[in-house]
Amino acid sequence: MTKPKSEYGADSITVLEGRDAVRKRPAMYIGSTSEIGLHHLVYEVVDNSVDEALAGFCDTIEVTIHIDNSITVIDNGRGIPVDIHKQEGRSAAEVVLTVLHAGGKFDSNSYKVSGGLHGVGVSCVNFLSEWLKLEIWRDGKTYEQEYKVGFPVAPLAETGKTTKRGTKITFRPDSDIFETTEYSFDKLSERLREKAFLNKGIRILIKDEREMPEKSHEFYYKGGIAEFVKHLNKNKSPLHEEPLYFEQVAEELSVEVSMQYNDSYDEKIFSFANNINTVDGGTHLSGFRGALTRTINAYAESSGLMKNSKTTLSGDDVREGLVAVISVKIPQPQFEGQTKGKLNSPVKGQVESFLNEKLGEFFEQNPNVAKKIVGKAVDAARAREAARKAREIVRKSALGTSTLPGKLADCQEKDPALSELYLVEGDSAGGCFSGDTRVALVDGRTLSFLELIEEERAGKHNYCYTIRRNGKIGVEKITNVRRTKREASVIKVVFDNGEEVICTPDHRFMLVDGTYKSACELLPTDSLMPLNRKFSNISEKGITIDGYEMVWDAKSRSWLFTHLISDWYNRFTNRYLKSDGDHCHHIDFNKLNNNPDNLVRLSKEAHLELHRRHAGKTLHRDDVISKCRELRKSPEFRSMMSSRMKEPTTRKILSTQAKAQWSDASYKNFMAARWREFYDNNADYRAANARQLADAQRKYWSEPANREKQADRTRDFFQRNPERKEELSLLARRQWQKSDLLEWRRKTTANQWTDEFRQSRKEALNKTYFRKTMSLLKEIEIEFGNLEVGVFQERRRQKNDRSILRFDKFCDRYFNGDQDKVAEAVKNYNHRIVRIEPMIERIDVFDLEVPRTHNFALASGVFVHNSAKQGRDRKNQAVLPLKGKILNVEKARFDKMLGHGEIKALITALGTGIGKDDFDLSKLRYHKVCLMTDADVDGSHIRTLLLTFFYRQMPELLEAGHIYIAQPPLYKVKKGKKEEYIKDEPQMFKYLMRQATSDVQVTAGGRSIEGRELSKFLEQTVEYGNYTSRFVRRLGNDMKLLEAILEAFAGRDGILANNNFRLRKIFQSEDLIAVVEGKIAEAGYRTELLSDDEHGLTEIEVTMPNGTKMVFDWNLASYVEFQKSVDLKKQLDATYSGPYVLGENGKSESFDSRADLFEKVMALAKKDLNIQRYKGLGEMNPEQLWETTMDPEKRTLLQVRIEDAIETDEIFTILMGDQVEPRRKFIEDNALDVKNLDV
Amino acid sequence: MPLVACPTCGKRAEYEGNEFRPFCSERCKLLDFGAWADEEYALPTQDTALSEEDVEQIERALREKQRQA
Repeated sequence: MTKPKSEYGADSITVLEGRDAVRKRPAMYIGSTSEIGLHHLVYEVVDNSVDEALAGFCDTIEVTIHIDNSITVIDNGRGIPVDIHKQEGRSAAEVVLTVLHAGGKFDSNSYKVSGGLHGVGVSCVNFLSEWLKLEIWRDGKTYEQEYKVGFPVAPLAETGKTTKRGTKITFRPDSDIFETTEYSFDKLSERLREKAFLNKGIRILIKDEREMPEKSHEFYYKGGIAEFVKHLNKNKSPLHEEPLYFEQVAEELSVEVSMQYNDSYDEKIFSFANNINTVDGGTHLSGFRGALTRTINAYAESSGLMKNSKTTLSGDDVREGLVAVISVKIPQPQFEGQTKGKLNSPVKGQVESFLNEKLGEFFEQNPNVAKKIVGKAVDAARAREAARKAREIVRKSALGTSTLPGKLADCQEKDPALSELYLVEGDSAGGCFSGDTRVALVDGRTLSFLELIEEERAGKHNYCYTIRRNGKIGVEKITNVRRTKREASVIKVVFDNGEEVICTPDHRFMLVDGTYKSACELLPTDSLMPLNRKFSNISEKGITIDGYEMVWDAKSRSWLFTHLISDWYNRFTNRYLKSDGDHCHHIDFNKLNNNPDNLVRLSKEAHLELHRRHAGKTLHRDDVISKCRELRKSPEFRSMMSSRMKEPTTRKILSTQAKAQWSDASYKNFMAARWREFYDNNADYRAANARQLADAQRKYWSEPANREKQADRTRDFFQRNPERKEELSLLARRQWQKSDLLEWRRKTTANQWTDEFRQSRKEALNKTYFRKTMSLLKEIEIEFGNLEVGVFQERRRQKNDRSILRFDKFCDRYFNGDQDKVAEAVKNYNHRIVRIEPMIERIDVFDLEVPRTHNFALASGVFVHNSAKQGRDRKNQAVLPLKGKILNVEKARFDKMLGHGEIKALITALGTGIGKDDFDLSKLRYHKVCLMTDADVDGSHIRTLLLTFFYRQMPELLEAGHIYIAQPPLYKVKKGKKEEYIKDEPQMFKYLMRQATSDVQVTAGGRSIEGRELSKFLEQTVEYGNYTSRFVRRLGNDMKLLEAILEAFAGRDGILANNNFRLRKIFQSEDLIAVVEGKIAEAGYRTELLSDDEHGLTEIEVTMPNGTKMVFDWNLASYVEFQKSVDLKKQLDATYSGPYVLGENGKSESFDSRADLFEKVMALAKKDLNIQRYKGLGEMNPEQLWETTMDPEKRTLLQVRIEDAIETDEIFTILMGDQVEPRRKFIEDNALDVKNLDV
Repeated sequence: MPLVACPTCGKRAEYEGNEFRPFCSERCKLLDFGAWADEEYALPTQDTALSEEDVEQIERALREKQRQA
């Protein structure tokens, strides 16, 4: 504290009157007449003493509450001046006690800084007290004076001698003024403690005489406000051990700051100016806050702690969990506001820059503490951001059902209790088209989706072209045309025929091989399945009817009559009666309307009769007649023109004119340039030209003499370059010298080339040949406008691709040598896309369903998937497809996660909202939420992610039993015509066992094993195999060693065969373990018995064939794999001894090992089975998915319990954790699948 | 139900009657939600073969876990 400058004398006191004013409006001076004002009286007196202490004259203040609630405050300061005040003619002490705002503080010379909440001074206390007694010890004398209701009873009088120094004031608050006069010991203590904190070195004592025994506290803090902070944090867990403390002492401004974070989320900051608690803060607090925010942000930035955060740290973030005390001392502080709780002096800048410096310095020097503090602020910012996101999602979902996610295929049912939501992994299965997209109909029209909806509503059945499952073209009924989504984002696909389609990016297009590809993934090189139509022309070979629609069939590579396909459809769907006859008739006499509903079968007679009667509707129709007339006109005209041109006179004139022109060189050049221009710009001409050239070439090569010449040239080359010939032959010889290589090759080839293999290889090759050759032909056709065989052969040579066939060979193999058919097939081979354009505008989209085949042709000439049918019951089953997003984290690693959009879609679809204030279980839109994922690692990842999400963010769903796991089958097994779905691996094993054991006989050691026993025997054999193969890894994969050890323990003559020892006992007994050692030695290993001191046991050291040593000890034997192996072997060896004989169909075969027997049995079981393993839901067609997984009658749904979810979360935590990479992998490979199969 | 580990900070937290279950606090729950929203949770998809050593290490860890359970 600063040193006193001058003596504290009577002349420094300014006089002001005001007893009556104070008593009239006490609240104006002390805040209130309630308990707060009452206590304030004490502080006012104490503050006087504190001022004395700050001035350096006093170090102890004593406060006593007497039994009548009167208060005594004693300090050991200089004592209030007693000399007579010049102006007043009274003692200075009396002035202090009777004049408002008197006291040293009014003169800035007296004290550097001074407090007192309202600066009213001790006179106020006097005015509001029933009585007040003053005792001053000063200069070895005692002075006393008494007051009643503010009036001195007598002047200050010297009453005795003393060695003490200081002032004692005792007062009793006036009960006429105060609502209560009862003091609170705790309240006073709290405030006095605060004063002790703020003024380090001052000792404040408080005593309560009202209670027996007396209560008392002594407050004395050397550490000052740092101890204050510790005190405030005493029931909290601090983030760092010691509070930060910074101090600056200066004439104009002293600053003291202490702060410490705890793990709570509240902030607690006390600010003081000249010991006054500035409850409303002020400039000093602003400076502190500014510096804190700035410095923490700067540190977060520079230390990289903010790397993953997108926002900066706000003031709230950096003050979370902060306890701080800031105290400034300034001469003549300025306050603001009614209660003067806010500092107004311009100190913000000084405080801020002081703290910026100090705090920055501290962070540099204490990086650990800095990290903790900044880390907490970063957490706070992230939480704030997360809360904002949660609110955002909720706000969006609260807008109503029209904002349901676009990908959601909702159900019709509105009652949540009856509704189900399937969360399906994978692409949205619901690709759709714009409403004006036109569909090609078999009745010769093309209708848009909107028009189709109209017609369907009116009851008309429309039919589309479709590719049947066998790859042939067919027709099929269109059903359920509808709008599927509002405001969907779409793309525009442009095809090579100039057509355009607007559809959702996920819509799937059919490729020529019958597979599908999403629109957004289409490449210009993809061959799309085309729809090509034409009218029959009677001039073509084999065509007897004219003007009928024909459609290209990609499977047979030929044109088919549409009406015959429709006719076939009618037969297939049993619309005809046997008695109907053979003639096919268009009911409306329009031969282009091939709608199956428009076709009937008639007898020949009836058909002809019908047409005779209705000739006016067909051949004699007006439009037909007029068309014919037009046609007749034109040839006459043309022949007339041509004969005129042929007249000799005309020709002569033209000829002479031409000759004259051509003699001019510039004209010649000009014409040549023009011709060149024409040639370059005229593809048709070039094509014709190229054709001529190609023909010439073909002709050339068809001459044997020419081919002979080329052969001569080759021969000649090698004769002239013998070294090249030698080189090549040497190379070949060298390669084939290695006999083992040859042998191996011969063997592998022989094994490989079964009839079946040959057949399938041939088919595959044929497909490849066709595809590649066709692609090249198509390429040439596009380029030249027709098939340039010469160019083809040339390109084929250039490409040097042996799967592109020679043209003639291609003709022979696939088209019976008919070149015209090849040309036709090339022309109709495919469509391609030219480009894909994203569309900014979002539109409503539509789809339809095609029963059985699930694809249809658009008018633009391509086939697309009908994706709407999802194997669900749209009445009450909704589907939300969720796509795992792939994240390429490192070069070799890909991570899978749920994207932000997926999470949002999920929450929105569920309808519950999210977060503390918004989650509402009663708003759940589906009471069954089923997770349906693929049976692979990705599928299990998505499931883990979803379950973890539910467990963490919506545990209420799990608790209420709303979450289920659907169980798509893992296998489809086909035996003959019978199909069966099998849920999982264990079921599959059981199934195979049933198959295997149904028609074989097995005997072990002469005993016949049958039925259930046989199954169990085989199961145990497999189990044994699994355990041993796991354990053998620990023995350096030495199977022989493992067998020797197991034999010693559990074989028929093994130690355990006739004794029920516990395994550990064998390692305890040197005799027993020696038996094991013997067996190992017998098997040809060098062994030694050692003592296993660690366990007090014996162990065997085995020298492996490669010289390394390994120890077989109790530790190894305690592995579950080993113990299970021992148990199983013991059991199996005891019950089933060899040899094992397998009988089937009268034949029998003998095996030495159980494993071989098992292999054979399995092979037999699988013999007649066609086993299909489903890797994904996409491999099942909608009917299958419905039948196996979604049909409430047949499905099994597993309800997820909270316990299951906790387990999943643990797995997830391990996977996500900072653990080493291998652990993640391991769990991914093992634990995850196993665990998840159990849930 | 027994105590569960708070998925964010690992502190043991009461499950029953805890508004923020299975988290210890609103803060931890919010942080977790933020991580979902920011796509921070990703599981590795590619599996590579494990070395013997890796298997040992992991199995030890798992045994440890079992023993604790």
